[in-house]
Amino acid sequence: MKKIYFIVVLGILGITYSCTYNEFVIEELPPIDTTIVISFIDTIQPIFDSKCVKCHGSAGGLNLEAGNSYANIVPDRINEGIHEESLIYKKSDPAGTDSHSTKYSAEEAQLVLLWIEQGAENN
Amino acid sequence: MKKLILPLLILLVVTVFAQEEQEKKKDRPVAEPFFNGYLIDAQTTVIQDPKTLEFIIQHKFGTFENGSEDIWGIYNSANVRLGLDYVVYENLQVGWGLTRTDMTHDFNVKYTILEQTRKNTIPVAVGFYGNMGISQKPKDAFGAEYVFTDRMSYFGQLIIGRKFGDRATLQTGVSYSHFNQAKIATQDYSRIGVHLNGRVKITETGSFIFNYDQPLKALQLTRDPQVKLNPNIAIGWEIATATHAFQIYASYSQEILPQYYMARETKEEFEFEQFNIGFTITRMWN
Repeated sequence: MKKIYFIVVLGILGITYSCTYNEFVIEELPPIDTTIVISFIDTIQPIFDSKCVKCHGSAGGLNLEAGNSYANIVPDRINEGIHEESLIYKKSDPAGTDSHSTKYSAEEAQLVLLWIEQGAENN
Repeated sequence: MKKLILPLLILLVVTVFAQEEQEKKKDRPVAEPFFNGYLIDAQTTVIQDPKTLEFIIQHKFGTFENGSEDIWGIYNSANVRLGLDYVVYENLQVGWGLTRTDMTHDFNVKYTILEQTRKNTIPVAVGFYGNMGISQKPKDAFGAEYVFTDRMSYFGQLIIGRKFGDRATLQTGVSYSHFNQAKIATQDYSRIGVHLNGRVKITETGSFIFNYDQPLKALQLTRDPQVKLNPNIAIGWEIATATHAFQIYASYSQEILPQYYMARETKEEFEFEQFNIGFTITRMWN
């Protein structure tokens, strides 16, 4: 029984010393050229293909496969007033707080946000 | 005569204490306060016999919000945990699990400090549960100043439970959750919470089960109005056999690991359509 107490005490001490308080620091990227028109088909859909369709495919719920994705995003998941609040951005924003399991990379998030800012066109 | 009083008193006291001691020895723990160690997504004070291995599948579907379009979440993206628990000594259990949220491994330990006894010598069961989660997400998900400990999160809980009669068992508890990394504008490092859960046995194998977890404002550093401390409420039905338990329920949080539903729940509205269907299946070998 002494052995158990020793292991438990050791475990508690180990956990206590591994507790830290680290602030999430977002990766700084070079500023994106906002004059470039972001294409939904050439830029945004490939991000969905690599990050989202594994779960959000044709099985049900939100379908982000090519040919279906645009109609499922615009206008329901776009916030025209506060672009950062658009669900298609916010859910997978790497700096956001949503616990959604898959996140965009910082660069992908920049592109999705710029596409929304440019009017979320089906281009 | 006076000379006899003191020895008689001593004899009486010794006899009474000896009888109490004997009664204590005879007083056995109450039978099956819960069928097993899991109650929806919470822990009970119950630990199986030593050398019991238990396999656990916990699954939560998507929310009800899309209605019949995705059959109330059944076709939507789900959360799942697979776990293995092993009882190493009497009343001491260790476990490991994998959860989809943040691709988290959890290593957990549960110790039943006291068991409620039939003759009420010990009126309540007291247990401790703790886990340490390690996220397996890629490095870049932890930002620009990554260190390994950013991956870690913790949950510790003291549980006090009592079985009332043959059918009802209630448990209450207090917990501490901690994440080593936080986006401090909208997240907290730590959170304290209180818990209430229980079971009412309706038939020989079927029970009504419920769970209520309430995160508290204490230790809340961020005052972001988007951070809502909504309770995680769940109600369900349990079917138990000698080696299996099957629990089906509706719950508010889609998270399975307790530190996540206490400190990382992001739902803003507490509405029925934010609930989801879930189930827990356990299989024991001993």
